[in-house]
Amino acid sequence: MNVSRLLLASLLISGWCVGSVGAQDNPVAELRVFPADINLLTAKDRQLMVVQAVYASGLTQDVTSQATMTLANPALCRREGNTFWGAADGATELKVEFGGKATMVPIKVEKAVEQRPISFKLDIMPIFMKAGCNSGSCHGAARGKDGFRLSLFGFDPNGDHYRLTRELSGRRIDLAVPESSLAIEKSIGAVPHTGGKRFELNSEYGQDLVRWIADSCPIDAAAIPTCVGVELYPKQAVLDGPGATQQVTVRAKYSDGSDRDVTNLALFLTNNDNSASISDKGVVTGGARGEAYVMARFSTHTVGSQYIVLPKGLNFTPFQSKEANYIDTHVNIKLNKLRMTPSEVCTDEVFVRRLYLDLIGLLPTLEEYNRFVADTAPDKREKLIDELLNRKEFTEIWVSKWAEWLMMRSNNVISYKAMLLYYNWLSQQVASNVPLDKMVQGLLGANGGTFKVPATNYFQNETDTLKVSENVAQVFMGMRIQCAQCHNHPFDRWTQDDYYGFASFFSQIGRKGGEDYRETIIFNAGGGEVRHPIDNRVMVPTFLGGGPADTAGKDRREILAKWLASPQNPYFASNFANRVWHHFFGIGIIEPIDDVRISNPASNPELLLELATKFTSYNYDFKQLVRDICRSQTYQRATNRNESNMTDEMNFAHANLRRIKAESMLDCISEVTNTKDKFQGLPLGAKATQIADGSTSTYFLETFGRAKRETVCSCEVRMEPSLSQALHLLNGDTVNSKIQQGGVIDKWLAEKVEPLQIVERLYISCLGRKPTEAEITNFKPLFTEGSNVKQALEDTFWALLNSREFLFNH
Amino acid sequence: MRQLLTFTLLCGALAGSAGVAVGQEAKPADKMEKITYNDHILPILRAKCAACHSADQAKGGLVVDSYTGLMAGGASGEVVTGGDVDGSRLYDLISHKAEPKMPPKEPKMPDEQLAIFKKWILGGALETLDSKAKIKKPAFTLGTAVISSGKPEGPPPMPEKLPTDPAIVSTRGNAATAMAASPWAPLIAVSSHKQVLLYNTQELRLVGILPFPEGQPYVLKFSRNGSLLLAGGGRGGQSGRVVVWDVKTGARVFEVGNEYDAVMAADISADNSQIALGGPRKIVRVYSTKDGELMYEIKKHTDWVTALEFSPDGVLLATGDRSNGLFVWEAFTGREFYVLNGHQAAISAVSWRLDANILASSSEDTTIKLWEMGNGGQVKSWGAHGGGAAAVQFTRDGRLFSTGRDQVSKLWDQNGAQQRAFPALGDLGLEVAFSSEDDRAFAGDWSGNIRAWNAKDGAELGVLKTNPAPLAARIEAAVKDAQALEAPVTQTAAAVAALKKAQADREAAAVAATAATTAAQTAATAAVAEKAAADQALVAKVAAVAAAETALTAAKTKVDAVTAEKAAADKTVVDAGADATKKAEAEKVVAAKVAELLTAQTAFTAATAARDKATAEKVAGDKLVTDAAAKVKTTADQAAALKVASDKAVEVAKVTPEYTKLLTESEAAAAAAAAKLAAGKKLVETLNSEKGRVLAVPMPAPAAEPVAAAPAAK
Repeated sequence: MNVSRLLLASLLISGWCVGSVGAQDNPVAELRVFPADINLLTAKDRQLMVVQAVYASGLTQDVTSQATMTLANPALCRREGNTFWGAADGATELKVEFGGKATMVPIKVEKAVEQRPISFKLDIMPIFMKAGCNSGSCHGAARGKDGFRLSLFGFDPNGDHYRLTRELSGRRIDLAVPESSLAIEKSIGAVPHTGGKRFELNSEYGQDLVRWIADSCPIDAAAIPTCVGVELYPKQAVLDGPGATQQVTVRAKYSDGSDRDVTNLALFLTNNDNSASISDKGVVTGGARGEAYVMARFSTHTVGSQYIVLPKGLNFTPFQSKEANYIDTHVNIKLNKLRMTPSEVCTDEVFVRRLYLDLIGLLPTLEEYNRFVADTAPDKREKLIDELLNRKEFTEIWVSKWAEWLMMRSNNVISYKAMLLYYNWLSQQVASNVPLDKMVQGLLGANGGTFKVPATNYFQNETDTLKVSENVAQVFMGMRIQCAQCHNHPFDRWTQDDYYGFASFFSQIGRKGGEDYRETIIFNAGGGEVRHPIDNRVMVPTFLGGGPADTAGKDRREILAKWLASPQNPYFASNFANRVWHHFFGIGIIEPIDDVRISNPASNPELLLELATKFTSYNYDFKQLVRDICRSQTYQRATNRNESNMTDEMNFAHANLRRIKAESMLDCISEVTNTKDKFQGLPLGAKATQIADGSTSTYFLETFGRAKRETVCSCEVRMEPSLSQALHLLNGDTVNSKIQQGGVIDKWLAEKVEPLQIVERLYISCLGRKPTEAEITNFKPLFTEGSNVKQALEDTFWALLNSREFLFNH
Repeated sequence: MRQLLTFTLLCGALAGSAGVAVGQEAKPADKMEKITYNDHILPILRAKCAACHSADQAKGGLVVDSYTGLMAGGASGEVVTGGDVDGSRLYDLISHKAEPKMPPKEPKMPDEQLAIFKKWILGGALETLDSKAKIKKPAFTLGTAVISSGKPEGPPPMPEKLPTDPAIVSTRGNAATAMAASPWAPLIAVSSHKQVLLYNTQELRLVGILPFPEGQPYVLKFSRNGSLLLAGGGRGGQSGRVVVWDVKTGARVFEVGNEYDAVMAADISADNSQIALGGPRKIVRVYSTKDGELMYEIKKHTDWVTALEFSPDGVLLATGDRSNGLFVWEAFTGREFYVLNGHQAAISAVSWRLDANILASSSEDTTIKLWEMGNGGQVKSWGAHGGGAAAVQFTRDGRLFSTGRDQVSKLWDQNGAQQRAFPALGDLGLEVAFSSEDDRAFAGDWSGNIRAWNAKDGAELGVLKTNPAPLAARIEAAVKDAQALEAPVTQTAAAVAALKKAQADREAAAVAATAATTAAQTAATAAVAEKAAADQALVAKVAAVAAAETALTAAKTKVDAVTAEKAAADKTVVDAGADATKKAEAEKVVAAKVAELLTAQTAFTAATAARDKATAEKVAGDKLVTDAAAKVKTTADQAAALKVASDKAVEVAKVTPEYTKLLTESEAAAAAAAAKLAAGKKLVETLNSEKGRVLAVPMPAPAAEPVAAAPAAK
């Protein structure tokens, strides 16, 4: 009787908690209990349980406190809040009930009364990370902080132990009275500390430190278990509005098979604080509508969970939308999850301008515009896509992009000739549509003179072993592993071992002079090793995330190239799929495109995976991938947002406004003004996208953020508008003089075209649309009797070229 | 007493609480209502704010630890407006009413303290109770010592009746962070948690404990004449101070420094006129001991000041820092004298040779370098300790004693030639002290053990601790030790006695044996005499036998003759047969002859008997002689045997060198054990006498600690 009443009460409470979503019309569909089992080893171990209810509506709720948890044998465990501690050895079960559902959790308790000694690496180092001591702005800085240095995020525990206990012996540690140790007095704010108070003396952190010092600050035995993985629960949550909370629980797995609840030691991060913030106790709180990836970092492992935050009590009916291909399928699934409706498909006018800009970097001419708009064929968009894919400008756009990634630029080391040969090689590869894997393999495995085998210039461009490996990882795998040169990557899985293991592939590049003094011959030296900076051991060549490679007696780069540009490398196809995607949306599925890491997850992993799979199945023919993207409804959406997708930036519910890239911008201006540019080494009238040498530039291109090709970073191309850009367009010599030089207006006036007709032509060529009635009305007074028509038209032209509508691809 | 009062005044002025007590004495009660900067505000500001807002850093251009500095305000203007709480930015920030909240990243200070600030501002932001009041300068009388490298007159200063019961007891010793040896007395000072330990280097015994509630001592130095002991240290990140004690009385005679972090290096000049200190704030401050005034600051160090020492002639000051900066300054002006470039890592110690011409420096770059003061050149450099040299000290005779991360302590000559390496410490070597007075070397390590060696032969003398046991425990241990010492005394005494008794026994045996021999010899002599007598008697008896035989023969002859005559007579008778006369005559003759025969026969019988008797007597005499001869042999043999035995016994009983040695040793052992016992008992007595000792001049009341109190010692 009592029990049933209790149950009823808890049901009532839970129903009330769900709030606007009534319990009756929104039953619990699934009860998730985390973790699935409890293993308690020693008196220090504990396990925080989290119970998550998944409602039929898709919403989730943290019901840990409301759920009924019953131990089959209460003698074995002690419960504090939602945390279970071992009390006596044995095995039992925990029954978790809520909303009519129940789950059993097996429990195993060992050495329940045994106190485990405090381990420096397993207990103390995580405190430094959790309390922020070893972060980059504090003692983790390269030169430490206020005279005390810890390794950044704890990549060097032995060094930290040395510095803490023996660097300034007697200052940081007081063996006689552990509580008086400076390390503790600073942490607890007992004495002034630049970093402020980090924790209480009586907290577990403080007490663990005291116990460790009282034990004479032992360093661990060499064969201590290492953390091999971290689990973060729940893995997914859909929060009902601002203020909804979800406790997380983090469990670390060790190499000896044991596990440990490290919720109190894990560092919590969120990639979108606005939507889901997480406290240092691991409580996620919903905020503004959106999606967030909440992460827990422990040891060298970072794991994440997806959190979707919806407006409170949102009513949403899943939409059905036309799906041109798999891209739309995946995007729509995600949008439905987020309860967002995508924007409409854009008009033909918008589409034709967008497609021209994206595929060939030029604006549609009057004729092209008219032909497309007038075309009534239902598949005219598909036809246009195929047509533009075969234009040579399409190739040029991608050669230009590749030239950025490969840093094609003449300098003191690479002669102009070598650079030009390199560029020609690249153009040929792209133009003849060499599959990407073949091209990359040819590039990374290249041996020979920089003139005869121009691809070898890749290894002449950058001669530092470590930098070469960083560049390869960034361009071909989309990963910035630089961090791991000096310390374990703070937000990714890469450790120094991974970094130097990967760098080891590039340690045997031989370089010698060729016959021509400008030529260098790149060859496999067959010797040379990379050593680990901390313990000086020779690193075995190891694929990033792919295990060690057998390179004995072989050219290490060839081995790497074969693996890198192949389906065995999970990052290769997805990296390029993402880069291609980024070109058409202005934002990658992973953004930035060359910063793939666990803490920067894909906004739509399924989509990226399928793109990569398709890319692989297309035999790395990226034209087909481009075709898929351009044909999708997702690409063809309008930039106008609706109420539901107003806040979306990451999920492609609408098209994005994108400023036109520097080279294309100049080409477009020259195109509409009918002028020709002259660049060094190119004939008059060549396009900016055809510039081979990164060191060739103009003021216009620099102002608009053309890549200098000095680094491989995608951030080299600056797309953000700036004041100097606006001023240059307004007052600089480009726009005005080009209007004058090109004589477009003169020509039309000479042909006796009506001024308003000319205005319309200018609108179409610049903005890809006809002027609106209102605009025409505004223009009319300019062309009344007696006015200077030519001046007025030039002003109009100038105004159009200065309009935001011109500068942006929309 | 006046000295103490002025001292207290100083402390009060600096730290607050003590000052209140003095104020109570001096001021009417109603004045106490006033909240003043010096008495109430400054202690809080010092604890909470001054780490950043002091002259050291002056973040935001604000200095709060001086009244003028605080009233002048910071980069954003005035922070305190007397009488206007809301208009005082200081109050806004500390009460978290405005950003940036102060102190940063810490909870708001307690309401009581905020109330004090409010009251102070409302009361017009007074500096002191009475604005005319001036801070009195201390009138210390350290006296000026004569600069001399020779031994000062009078007995070397040793602690006299200082307390030896540690105020702070811990089961584990902290690292030896500071050590110093008295230049003239058998005395070293060793750091301990919030106290300084004084050990007698001869007895390796604690002879004094000086409380240092300021925190951990990071530097200890004796003055050049050995009469003063300086300690610098403090609480990391919070406060640092230098304290000077009179070694004999344990009285605090000087305190200086108001650092915002622990003092890591300090020294007192040779004439006791200056005290220099430095620490993590990178500034060396030099104070005059006459009036406690700051003489000058050295701001050239780019890292923590880790080592400094005045030259023995008082002219120069050497300072080193945690990077590799090493400088020599003119001690009285602070003018740069030399920049000593060469070290690659933190300077861990500097030490002057007694003539002030050579400076030694040790560094974490493993080397010890010597610098001459003629041109500031490096004259020697050698790798001394793998991993880093932690400490170096010149001995009085110009050798160098050092230790380091290789855990080995080494003694060098001035050319860097190693004279001796002492057995490895158990952990990183941190500090050294060399007692030139008795040529004993001391090195302290990370685990808090201080090993003592005889520098002459390298013998380890003992281990001292940075965490001495409480006096009661030491007494208990001493009593136990003393008890344990009694058994050896008994044992060794018994051994001596046993040795002696054995010798006496042997001697007695020899005497007895000799006596027995003498007796036997006497008996033998007697036997010989006896035999001689027997021999003589036998001769007589042989003669008697011969005489008897002769007599017998004569008797026989007579018988025979008579018999023959009788026969002749008989024949005559017969012949006479008829002749009666003749016969009668014959018969008469016969009868005569018979009678004669009878007589002859009787005589013969008698002679026979006499002969037999004589023969028997001779036989008896023979036996007597034989017996006597046997006796002679027996006794002679016996005497000979006894003689051998007695000779042996005598030999054995002779006093051998071995015995003498053994006896001497045993006696020495016994004496030693007895002495040990006596010493043990004496120690117990001494320790007992140390019970209840207090400093003759008590510590002034400690400054109030507004910040969370240090956790109680275990």
